[in-house]
Formats: sequence, C-alpha cells, structure tokens
Amino acid sequence: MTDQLSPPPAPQQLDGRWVDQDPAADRYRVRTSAYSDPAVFDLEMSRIFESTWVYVCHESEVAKAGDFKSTWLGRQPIIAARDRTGAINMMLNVCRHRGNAVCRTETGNTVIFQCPYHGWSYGLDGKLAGITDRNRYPSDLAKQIGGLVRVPRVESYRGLVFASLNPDVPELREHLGPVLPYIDHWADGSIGAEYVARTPHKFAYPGNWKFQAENSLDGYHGRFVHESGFAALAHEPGGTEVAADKHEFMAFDSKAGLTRGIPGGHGTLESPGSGLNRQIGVAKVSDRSFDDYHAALSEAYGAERALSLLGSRHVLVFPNLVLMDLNIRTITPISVDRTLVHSFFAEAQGVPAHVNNERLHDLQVRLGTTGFVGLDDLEMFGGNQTGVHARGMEWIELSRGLPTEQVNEAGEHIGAASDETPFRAFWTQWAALLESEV
Amino acid sequence: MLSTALDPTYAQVATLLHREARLLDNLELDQWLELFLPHGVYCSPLGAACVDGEPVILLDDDRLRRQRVFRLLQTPAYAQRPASRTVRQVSNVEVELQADGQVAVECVVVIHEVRVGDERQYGLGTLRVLPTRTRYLLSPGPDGALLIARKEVVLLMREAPLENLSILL
Repeated sequence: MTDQLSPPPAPQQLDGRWVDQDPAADRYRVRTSAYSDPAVFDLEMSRIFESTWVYVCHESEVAKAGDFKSTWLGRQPIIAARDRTGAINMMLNVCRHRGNAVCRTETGNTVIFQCPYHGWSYGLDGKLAGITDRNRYPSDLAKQIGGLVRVPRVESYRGLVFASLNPDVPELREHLGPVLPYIDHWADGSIGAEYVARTPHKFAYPGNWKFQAENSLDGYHGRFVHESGFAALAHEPGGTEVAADKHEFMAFDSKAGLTRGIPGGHGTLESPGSGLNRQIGVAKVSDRSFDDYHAALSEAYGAERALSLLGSRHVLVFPNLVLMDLNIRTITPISVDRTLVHSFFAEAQGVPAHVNNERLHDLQVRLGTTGFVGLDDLEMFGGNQTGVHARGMEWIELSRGLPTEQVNEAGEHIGAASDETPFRAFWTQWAALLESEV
Repeated sequence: MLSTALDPTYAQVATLLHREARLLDNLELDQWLELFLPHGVYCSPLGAACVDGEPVILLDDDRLRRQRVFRLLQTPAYAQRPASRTVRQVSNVEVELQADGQVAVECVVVIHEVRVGDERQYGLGTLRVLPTRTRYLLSPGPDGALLIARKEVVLLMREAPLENLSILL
C-alpha cells in the first residue's frame, strides 16, 4: 500500500473576506489583496489547487504506453504516465528513499522511472520495482513502502484528464456537471475521435494567475487591448487602412454574443455561429478549409449543430483550464505574482490536413509565443499586478451587467458579451472554497 | 565550400549581419524589411528546426513580416509600450558557399533586451538575455547584393515559458 497524502495545512486566520456581493446595491467587488497577498495564494493552493479537481493534461499528451509528462498539481511535483494496460497513473515525482525527483524531463517515453541518486526504480504505475543493494535494508521494506505516493483521484472526460489530491472529491462528471455541455460543444469540433494536443506554446507573465482566468472570458477588453493586433492583421501592405473597430477580427459579437456564469465557477464567452463570416470560431481560413470543415461537421452532427459549432466559444473550466475554439490553455500558478500559461493547438480529427494547418497558423499568429493578440493581454496582467499592491485602492469593481443579467433554469447567469457575468461566477465559487470554515 | 574571414563573400555576409542587427536595434524596421527577398521566410522553431505543420514560435512570410512591423511602428502594441531597447551581438559566423550561388550562414546572435522602466512596475526594467543560434540562407538580389531568403532563429530558451516575446528576433 502506498501512503496517503498528508492533509493540507490549516489556513491562517485572515482578516475579513475578499468578495463583497451586495445585490441591493447591484455591486460586486473583490479585494485587491486576493491578487497580491502571498497568504491568499497559499490558501488558494491548499483550498483549490490541492483540494478540488484540477486539469492536468490531455490524453493525447501521453498517448502510448510508457509516455509520461512531469508537471505540477497545485505546487506538488507529479508524473502522469500511461502504463501497459492503457491507464493513466499520476504520482508524486518524489523518490521514497531520499526525496529526489525520479523524473527530470518534461515529456518522454520510458519503461521505468529510476531515481538518479541511488537507483531506486518504479514502474509506470508508480509501484516500487527495485531497491539497489536491497539486503542492507529490513527485508520487508519494499512491501512497506509500496511505491511512489499516488495522486488519489484521476479521471478524464472527452480526452481531458483531471486529478485531485483530495480522495473525497465527488466523481469528475458530477463535479463538472453544469459545464459538461460546453465541454461537449468544444470537443465535438473534432470528429470521430478526440482532439490531439500538439507541442504547446509557453508563456510566463509577472502577474497573478486569476488575471489569465478572467481575461479568457472578458469580452470587454478587445476593442482596447487588441486594437493593435486587429489593425495589424487587417493591414494590407501597400493598401488602405481599415479602422480598427470595423475589423471582422473583432471576435465577439456585441449584439448576438453573450457571457455565461456557470455554477461551480465555470463560464463562457460566446459568439453564435451563423456561417456568414466564413470563419471557424474566430479563425479566418480559406474558403476551401471553411467549406471542408463545415461539410465534415454537417455530416457528423447535422446542419443546425454544425452552424453552432462554427461559432466561437471560450470556456473556462474552474480553476485552470480554458478551451477556446482550437486551443487548450492551461494556467499554472507559480507564486502570487508569477504564472505560466501553456497553449496547445487542438488538432481536430476527421478533417483534411489543410484545415488543421490553416487553423494552427491562425492560432500562432494571434495567440502564439510571438502572437499579435495574446502578448498585449499578458502586458495587461503585469500592469494589473502593479496596481493591486496599492493601498487605498482596496477593491476592484466587477459589477458590469449585474443589474440586467438573467438567471436561467440551469442556474446559469447570462449577460451581454462584454459583461463581467462569468467573473462573478468564478469569484463566487472561489469565495465558497476560500472563505469556508475549516 | 567554406568561406573564411579573408574572402570577399565573408566580408559581404558580415556587413549584412551587422547592418541587420543595427537596424533592428534602432527600430529602423522598414529598412529591415528590405533586407529580405520577397519570398523570404523569417521563422523560429519550438524544437530544433522549423518543420512544416509543426507548431513554431514564429513563421512569417512577406505579408506577415510587414504586418508585424506595421503593428510595432504604427499601432498601440501595448506589449511594446514602453518599447524594448535592444543590443544585439553577432559572432561565431560560419559561411558556406553553395553550388547554386546561395550562401548558407550560421552564427550566434545574442539579443540583450530591456523595457525602459524599473522594478516599481512589473515587467519593466529587467535586463533579459536571449541567446540564439541563427541560420540564414542568402541569395543575390536584383543588384547582385546578398538578401535574406530564409532566417531561422533558434532560441536557447525555446522550450521554456517565455515572457513577452514581442520584439523582432
């Protein structure tokens, strides 16, 4: 038997609460210290990232037996490895002997994890396979140790693999319940088999992780932050300029689009598909690729759903996963003011190669490592982080659209495309986890 | 055939590389654009080299290069407000003349970058060093001078999460 993880440390007593919801005043505010206080960050790690379901990897990242990925779950170093039965195992990347990392590479394929320090080795399922020169130990030590400490819960849905350090979390499907239709909608963009996650673009930024989570569903900032990116992409070298606010690249339709705050802290930013703009989501592609993809979707799902799938939807799966059309984006908090983002191109199956090639190109140009659009977002996060340390500006304002948002029978809050509706769902869940008593 | 420092082609290559570094450092980007042949490719891989169909850090044709320069010079590109200052160092230049008249170049370019400001604002005032191994394929242009048919910048840090890579490489 492997040991259980020790329980998270008891939270420090912190002064007051971070989320101020005042329905009577139509105000919704969040304390700036929620983005700047290292003690809040520690509490987020233990109460969110190391207590609930967190997205870890896509099944296609560990597609074959022996494939592995080393990463973090919260701040715990872990390995995700596929064994010969096809199961994905997750365990602490920590040798049971003296605590060394047994795996120092990010991805690869292996038959065994051998600690470089004294040669103890572990199978793809984490079980202890060998102790070097073992007769110097008590005879039953291997049995007592068992293997690497296992992550107690690992489950996947539509190719997305989640894990939890808390053995008592509900089933993944139950946990994801209210956001499942939107995950399905995203995943149906790949036909006949799940997407394949390609080599990621990676970013770091000097700011709190929640800025990226929020920004993914922010339909309000594009006109300002992305004026440059949109203008550049519409620029015809040698031609006449198009005013930035007239660009088709303005991804989210201010009239027909909407935002959705989903119970559990999830949310969406949506622009319905009509096929009229001949785009796949926000991606501008050739007529040939649009027609081929449209035809493949129509054949697989029928005309109505095909049009819906051609729309654009950003889905935030609380807390650290963003699904954006052709993009899987993971958010990795490093410290209160430093965050990593991994952006994987999601290659659709069941469509011609040129469709994927054009979509990959579009994604890279907009949101890649040198992207025209995404880098200006990251710049906002650094500016935000500078501001949230200021005293005298104790609260940020998240009230946009609060007086007019609707609540449907699923308990979803629906706002206009530029409303802060999904942020409120995010923060309400965040507060439920952080402000609860032990 | 390898070209050595005493060879006229080597001198021509060195002049081109130094001029390109200066134009990029001075943000004279319209002139930088003219160093490329119209079909020239400007790219940077995530792996060891740019491969068709694989995700990359950068893959610009003439149109995208011009759009990128337009963005940096003529639009509110916030990732470059304030702009970066850079100093590029070019060294370890190896030049190989090819049978078809093209010239293959491999060199080390180290880009030193700082965004004007200091640590009172996140993201500003930190000196960043971006070592690269940069490969060129050069071809004679209409007037016989060498121009860039392909520039591939292999970043030392290509597999690490990178912060704000909005400057030209």
